[in-house]
Amino acid sequence: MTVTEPEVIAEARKLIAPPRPARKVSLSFLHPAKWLPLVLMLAVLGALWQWGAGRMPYLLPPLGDIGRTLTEDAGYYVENALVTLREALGGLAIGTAVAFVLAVVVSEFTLARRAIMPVAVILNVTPLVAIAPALVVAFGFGAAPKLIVTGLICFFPVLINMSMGLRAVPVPVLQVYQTMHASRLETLWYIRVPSALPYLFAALRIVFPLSVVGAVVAELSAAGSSAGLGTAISLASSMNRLAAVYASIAILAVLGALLLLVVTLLERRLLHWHETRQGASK
Amino acid sequence: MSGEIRVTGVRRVYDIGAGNSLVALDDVDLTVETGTFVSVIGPSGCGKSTLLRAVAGLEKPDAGHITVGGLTPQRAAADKMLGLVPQTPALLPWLSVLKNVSLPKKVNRRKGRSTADMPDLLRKAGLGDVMHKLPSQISGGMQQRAAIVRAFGLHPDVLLMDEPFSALDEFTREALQEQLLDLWDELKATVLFITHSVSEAVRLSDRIVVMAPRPGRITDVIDIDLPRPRGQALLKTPEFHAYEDLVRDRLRGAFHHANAIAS
Ligand SMILES: Nc1ncnc2c1ncn2[C@@H]1O[C@H](COP(=O)(O)OP(=O)(O)OP(=O)(O)O)[C@@H](O)[C@H]1O
Ligand SMILES: [Mg+2]
Repeated sequence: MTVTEPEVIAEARKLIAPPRPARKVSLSFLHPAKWLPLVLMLAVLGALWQWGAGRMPYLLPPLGDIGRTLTEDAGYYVENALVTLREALGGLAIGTAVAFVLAVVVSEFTLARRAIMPVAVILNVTPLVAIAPALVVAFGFGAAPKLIVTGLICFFPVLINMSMGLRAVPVPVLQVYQTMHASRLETLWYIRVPSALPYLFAALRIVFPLSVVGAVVAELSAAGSSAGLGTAISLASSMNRLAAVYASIAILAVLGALLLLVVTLLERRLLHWHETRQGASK
Repeated sequence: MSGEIRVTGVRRVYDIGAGNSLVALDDVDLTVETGTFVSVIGPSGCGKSTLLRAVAGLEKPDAGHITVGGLTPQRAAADKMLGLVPQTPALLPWLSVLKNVSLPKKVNRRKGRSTADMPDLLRKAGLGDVMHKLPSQISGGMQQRAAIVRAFGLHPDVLLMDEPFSALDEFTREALQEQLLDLWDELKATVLFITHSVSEAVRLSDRIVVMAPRPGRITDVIDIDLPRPRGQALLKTPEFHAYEDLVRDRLRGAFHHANAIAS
């Protein structure tokens, strides 16, 4: 065969700069330029907090107090954090799964889209904080209302993004497989679902941390709940234990960040082929 | 097996809103005999892609009818007799080159056709070294080559190509023309090939169909009586240039017509 000029150049480039091994452990995060800005920022925020706590002790507890409750009652916080995390992950799983299935239905059947999408939109614009108490009345103080609220919060972004992704396949690709008479199921499985994954992950990046919000909102509105960080917050604030309130809030923030980390790692594994990821690795 | 394309009296009208309609194809007759290479050339908007889509069974003509190997285009597609190479490579970005060209085997399995040995075919197309790479990791020319291998892999009776090389530079383009001819020589298929390039049409084809717009129709059919194989040397011969001039002349007629109506 004849090798064309641009390919000769491409081959030569490969020889000069061999492609990096895929899983090289990068130590670049050790460089001060990477960690110093954040550390400085945290130091400034911490100093501001302490200054504020000194002037308004009834509004902000000193960081030391928060640390002390966290260590002294570590068991209590871990227990409640696990309850909240379980609710968050449960709701996340249910909401995402239902949204995924509905997205497929909605993108495959126009009539279903016309029936389902308006309802989904209305559900989305209804403030969930307002629905939560009603759900507690209906389902009691157990896990059910929390799973439902969390599920509802996670549902919409996944539905919207996923149904968009399923339909975002370039027309020429569809035409190539249509001329081979690929069935709808085959097109869905081999083409539409994989190409919707970047859209799905864009939604999951929002929804993973948001699931914690859903769980806490549900706990806060179920005044008789026995456990969970939301319950811990309402208990502590009714007793004016400010340090305990902020201790729970800190754990919630960490939980949210951890979930974001999980989704980022998942995305890196599954979407290594995607353009935005390839740009990121360069 | 027969891969004859027969287009008779095909008309395709698009509704372009505000009560207007556009005649994309008007009474088009065309026969492409089994195993021949026919190019379609003509000004933009003269209905070339529309004709190709109709032959591929991707849209239905408003009048007239089309058969591929004696079957309707839809039946031909169901029998996996067709291969389509669009203008963009249309590879799946998450699959390696090898998996991309092997996917057609997995769809519509009821039709068990004899398929090519894909790694072997890729090697023949000069993609042996990159078959495990992702499409984004190879050049545009290689991607388009992979798209051609994907279409050839099912040993289709009919290959439909819509300006497959138009996004490539001159050198890559000529190299790919040569490879296409090699593959075609080996695997034998009826080819309907759309292009904007006169020299490409002359080099590849047994016959060139010239189309004109508004309404889209065939204005000329030119047989290219040049020996095969058609290597690089042929491109410099007076016979080749004579055919180029002839096609260019006929095309000018089609363009004049297009402009006369537009102004
Ligand atoms: N789906 C459609 N709806 C409305 N009009 C269309 C549609 N598809 C094509 N047309 C019109 O039909 C005419 C023929 O289009 P077609 O794409 O077949 O032209 P073409 O010869 O392939 O042009 P090009 O060389 O630019 O690819 C054009 O005027 C185009 O605007
Ligand atoms: Mg076209």
